[in-house]
Amino acid sequence: MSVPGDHVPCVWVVASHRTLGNENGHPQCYTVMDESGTRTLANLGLQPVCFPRVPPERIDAMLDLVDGVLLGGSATHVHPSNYGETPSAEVPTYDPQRDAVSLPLIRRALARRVPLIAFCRGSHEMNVALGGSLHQSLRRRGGGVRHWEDPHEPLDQQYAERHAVTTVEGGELERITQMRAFPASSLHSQGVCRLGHGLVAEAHADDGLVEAFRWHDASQFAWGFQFHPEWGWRWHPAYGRIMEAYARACWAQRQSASVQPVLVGREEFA
Amino acid sequence: MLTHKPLVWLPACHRNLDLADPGGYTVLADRYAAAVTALGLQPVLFPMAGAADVIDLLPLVDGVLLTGSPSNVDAKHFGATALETDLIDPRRDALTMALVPAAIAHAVPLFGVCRGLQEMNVALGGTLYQRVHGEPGFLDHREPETPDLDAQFAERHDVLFRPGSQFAEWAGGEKAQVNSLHGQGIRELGRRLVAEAFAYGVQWHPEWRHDRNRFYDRTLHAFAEACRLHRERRPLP
Repeated sequence: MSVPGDHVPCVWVVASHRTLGNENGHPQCYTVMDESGTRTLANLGLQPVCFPRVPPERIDAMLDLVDGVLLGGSATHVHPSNYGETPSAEVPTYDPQRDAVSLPLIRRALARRVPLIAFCRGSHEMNVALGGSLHQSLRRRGGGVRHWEDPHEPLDQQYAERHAVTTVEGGELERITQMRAFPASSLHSQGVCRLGHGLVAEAHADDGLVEAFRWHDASQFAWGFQFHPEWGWRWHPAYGRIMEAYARACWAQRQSASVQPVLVGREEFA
Repeated sequence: MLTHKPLVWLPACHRNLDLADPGGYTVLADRYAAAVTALGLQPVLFPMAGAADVIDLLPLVDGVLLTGSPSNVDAKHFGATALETDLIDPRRDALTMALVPAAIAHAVPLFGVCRGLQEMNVALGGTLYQRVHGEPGFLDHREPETPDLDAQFAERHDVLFRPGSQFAEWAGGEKAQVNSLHGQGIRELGRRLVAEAFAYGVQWHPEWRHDRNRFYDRTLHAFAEACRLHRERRPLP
């Protein structure tokens, strides 16, 4: 018999927002979650959870309920106003509702040492939340590495490993993956330009683009990846070691939380 | 004063978005999250949760709201065969068929809208008409073919309430006009349960512009009040 609190670690997965056909095929706003991230969490024994329409002032109360945070990819981009730029004309889609949750959530999760993993758009959010900036168009930047997918390819090919990633010698990612270099997936048109405050680069593409970074305090798990370690983690050894390290951090968080007096959701004041 | 928001679990739907983005997605129509938020509750999704997770996750929430959806309950759950035209969502069915009886048994407030009402009925052993509009003597309960959402969700027919019932109290009378956007409908009611639980289902959509419809709003506020009471009573994890 289950008792309250006797559950696996919950991971807050930040949702995206899209206009989709409703019951009658007509457009309405939907909260959407890409299942490549949530399925990987479930397969790692973690329970994905999401809080649609959470107001920024309630983020701390919701963080009490979870043992990890995951920010996945999306077809949308972080709005450039969040890093002091105006939108470049060729970038069409933003998701300001997601930005409004993800940017403060990242800062609170870091402050409270809740394990944090971010892929692709999520890694851009993590960088921007800490004062970093983005290349709005890697095509314009040039540099000899093709970072973007062909939208006409099947999904498996889009997520195939497209270029090499080299870890920083003696760094934390080399320690976690036990690799100096590995092939990585690449489905993005934007990337890290100026790294945010307190972040440390841990891997690069051959054109110098940052492919992985972490919070400077390596004793807490807080990582951004430009590639998708959640896709194919069972057979790609570097992805597998990254995802398992994250799952271990969530379990450690769950165990440390369960021995403290837990004030679930009671930190909100009217 | 110390306050806290009750959490409402909304079992989500599963679908692909479009041809250019064919991956699997967990989705929730935002109008349900908007209505739940407007009631002073916090919506919660548990993506990938299945029947086996219900017993672990129910203690974390204060209410369950089963939403409408473009998909239908798979007819195999009530001893029939799904129509070729049916859009089905087997993962949602698998979760809700377990969640409905568990929520009632654990006295977690439960509210079903449209597909949600149908799930409640089927999960408790009831059956559905697969095409209400094809049954002799019934109205066509589907929405009109118009892109205008206000027209789709306009009140379309009366419903009659049992005298003295909870619905009659919410409606302030034994009759109300409601919207109607469904092809399936209840044929035989599921078994009666004796439980100290708030568990109601409605075939219409009270979440649609409930701020302008006193009956819809009172119905939803009764659910919210039940969630608040549950929050005060349940042991916190």
